[in-house]
Amino acid sequence: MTGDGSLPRIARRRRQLLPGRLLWAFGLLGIAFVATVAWAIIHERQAEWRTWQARFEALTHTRLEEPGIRQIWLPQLGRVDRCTTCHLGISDASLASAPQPFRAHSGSWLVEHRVERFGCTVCHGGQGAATTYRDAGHHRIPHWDDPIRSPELMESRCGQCHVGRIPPRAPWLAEGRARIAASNCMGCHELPGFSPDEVRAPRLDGLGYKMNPVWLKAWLHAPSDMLPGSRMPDFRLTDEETRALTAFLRTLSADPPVDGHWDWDQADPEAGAAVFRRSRCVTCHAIDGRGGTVGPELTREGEKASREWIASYLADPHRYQPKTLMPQFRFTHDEVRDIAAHLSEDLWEEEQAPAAIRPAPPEGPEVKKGRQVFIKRGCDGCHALDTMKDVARIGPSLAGVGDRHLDLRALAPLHRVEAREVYAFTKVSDPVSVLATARMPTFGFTPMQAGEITVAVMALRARPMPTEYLAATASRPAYVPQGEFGALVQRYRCLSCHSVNGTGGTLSTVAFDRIGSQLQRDYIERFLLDPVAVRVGLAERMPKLGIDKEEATTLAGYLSAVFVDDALESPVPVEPDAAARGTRLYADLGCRGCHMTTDRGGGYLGPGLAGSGARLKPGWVVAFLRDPERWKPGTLQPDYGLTQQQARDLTAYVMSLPALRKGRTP
Amino acid sequence: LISRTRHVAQESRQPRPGPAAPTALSAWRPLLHVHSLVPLVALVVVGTLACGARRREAPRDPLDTAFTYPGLTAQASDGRRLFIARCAPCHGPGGRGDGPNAYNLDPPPPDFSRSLSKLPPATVETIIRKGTAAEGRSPLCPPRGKALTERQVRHLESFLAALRDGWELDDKRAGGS
Repeated sequence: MTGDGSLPRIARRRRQLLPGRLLWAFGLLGIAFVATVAWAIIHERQAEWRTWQARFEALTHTRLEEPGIRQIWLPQLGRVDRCTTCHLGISDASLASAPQPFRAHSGSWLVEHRVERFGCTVCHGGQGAATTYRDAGHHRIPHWDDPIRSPELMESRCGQCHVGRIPPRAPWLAEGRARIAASNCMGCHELPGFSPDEVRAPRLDGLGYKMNPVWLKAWLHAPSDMLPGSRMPDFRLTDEETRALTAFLRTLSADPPVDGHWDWDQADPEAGAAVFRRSRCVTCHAIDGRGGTVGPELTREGEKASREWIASYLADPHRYQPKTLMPQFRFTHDEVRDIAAHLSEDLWEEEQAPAAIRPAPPEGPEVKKGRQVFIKRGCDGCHALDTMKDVARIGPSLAGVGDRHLDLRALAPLHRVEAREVYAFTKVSDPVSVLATARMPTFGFTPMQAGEITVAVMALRARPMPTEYLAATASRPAYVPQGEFGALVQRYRCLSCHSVNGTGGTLSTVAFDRIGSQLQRDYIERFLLDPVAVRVGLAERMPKLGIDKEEATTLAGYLSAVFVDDALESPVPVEPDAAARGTRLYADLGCRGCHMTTDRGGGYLGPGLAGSGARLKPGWVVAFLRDPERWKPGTLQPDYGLTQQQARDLTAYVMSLPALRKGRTP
Repeated sequence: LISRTRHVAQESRQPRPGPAAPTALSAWRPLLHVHSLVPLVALVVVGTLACGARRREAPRDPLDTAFTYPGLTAQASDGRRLFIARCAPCHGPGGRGDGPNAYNLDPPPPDFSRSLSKLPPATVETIIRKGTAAEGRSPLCPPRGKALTERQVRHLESFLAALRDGWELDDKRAGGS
């Protein structure tokens, strides 16, 4: 465009304007720019994912129909997952043993969680948008919130949607949730999914009448020194705090014991011990470490409480503890006195409690200070006091702790942690190891227990899951039966051990859900009147509640009329040779390893089968034998893969077994 | 082919220097002579070293070992939980053949620390899946193949392998859980 010779002229002028070195620098920068662009293009051509796609084609001897970055976009979940760019065989069962990253997903997880609907990172964590191995977060990256973690910790992500107490196929999460409930964590912390009403701890309103002050002081100082299986954690109280708290608790004077005219001279501890054994109190209460954990350990009950209070409590437990899991036994007046005498006389180690205890007057500086300690350490979170209402919970809310911002440096000044789950684990394991002034008590969890709790806590995400992703097992309202049946269930606290539709207790292996289709009505009635366990090996047997004839008829009638499953009610045709064929099958399968059919021989893991004809309903037996896991997940009953015919034959044999002579348990 | 690919896969975990990297370096080298860039370069070098040093001292993650029993892999630890739930009633928690139901059984369950070394792994797997009857023994050990997933069977096998090699639970370290 310009005239001849104009270019050299401009160049000459530039040379004059710019010093030589700067011109050099510009030239080199230009070269660097070109080189960078070239490097970027070459780098992109040789991107890691292209290599993997080429290797996948070589491995499967096919060509990808659409090579390139693959992406699953889930706007509802806020996820963009490109993992399938390299994990090309993830839903191809024929690649189950291919090398990674091409291997098919293990198990049947993707059947229930389709990749197109769930993506990858919502369960696995990691950085979905990344296209290199490193950036995807396959390994822990310090200070990064959501890396791919071990399969155990991954269960915390199951808990985002599976909000029910027992999530399927997530054992650590289930254990963690159970442990949180059992440890009363929701007494101090707001924990979505756990209601403060679930807290199980005695109310203390009448403590001044109940507890031996000597015991109380030692107990507050270190509960597990007094009873190793104690559910109460160690608050690490100083001697001064212990004294003050003891002084305050001794003044609590509601619920005085009833004067039952007990005639203690007539008391017979040995007779009481016999009633104690016969009623199977150890199903819930441990003595010397042996027995159940539903109720408090009684090893040193005689040291802890006055016999007067024990007797009053046994006569009417629900008056003193309306929320207790303990049933109201139908003990006679004398039986109550004898049991109280037994607990008081026989179960103590260092010093027996006085026969009657009276509260201290509510005054003095110690009492005032003790009241402050009670509030400061959040005792009322678990132990409700009528005189102290609406005290704020002392623990921080744990809602959203799984992904909301946490300032870990402030939370854990003593212990450098980089990841929130490590913080949670360390804090749960030993609160003072991260913060010297921690108010949280020490529970003494093992690393495994702390890990379970960490899994459950990390499932509490601030980012809510869309409702259509939430699993149907969301917390169900507890079953509250009504009417005459409801009153009996309330009195005998059936749901402390038995479950209905996933709520209630877990101690009993017998859920009420379909009990009317499993057991015959007359058997239920007989059992309620005289509970003789069909499982000899079972430690947690049904207590002998003293249910009377009329009550048993009501309960059995309701259970067998209402809790019915139509799938089990189809009649089972009886064939003439069935029992004979069943006998052979019984021997061939080795059923005797776990079941007894006579009063000797056979194992006692499963229920004894003698007299099954008067106990079980055949439709249930057939269905259970064919698919035990369906009816009782985790049962020890093996799935032999029986045909319908085999199951019927076996049922015919089992139903033909005669009952044992009276007085002999199978 | 599979083994070769696996080898390649391991190789690729290390950060691969891009093939274009030498080109980039040679393009930058003349610039290093420019005095004004020296402080910048020094900053980058010191920064890189500092980051490297920081990463090295990252604390060990206590959660890596929380879910495993001392001396067991994660798989075998899961296997132990399955073993406790499904097998221990007869075989005993340590596989000694001393579970609560053991004395009802004839023949009694064996002591795994001795008997397992005589069994090939394939037989062990068959017994887990199909029961002892499938191996022509007494039918007292029932099949668990339908109740357990593939993964659970593998985990149970790896726990049994640990028992075979003499693993025992140290109660003090595991807290007895």
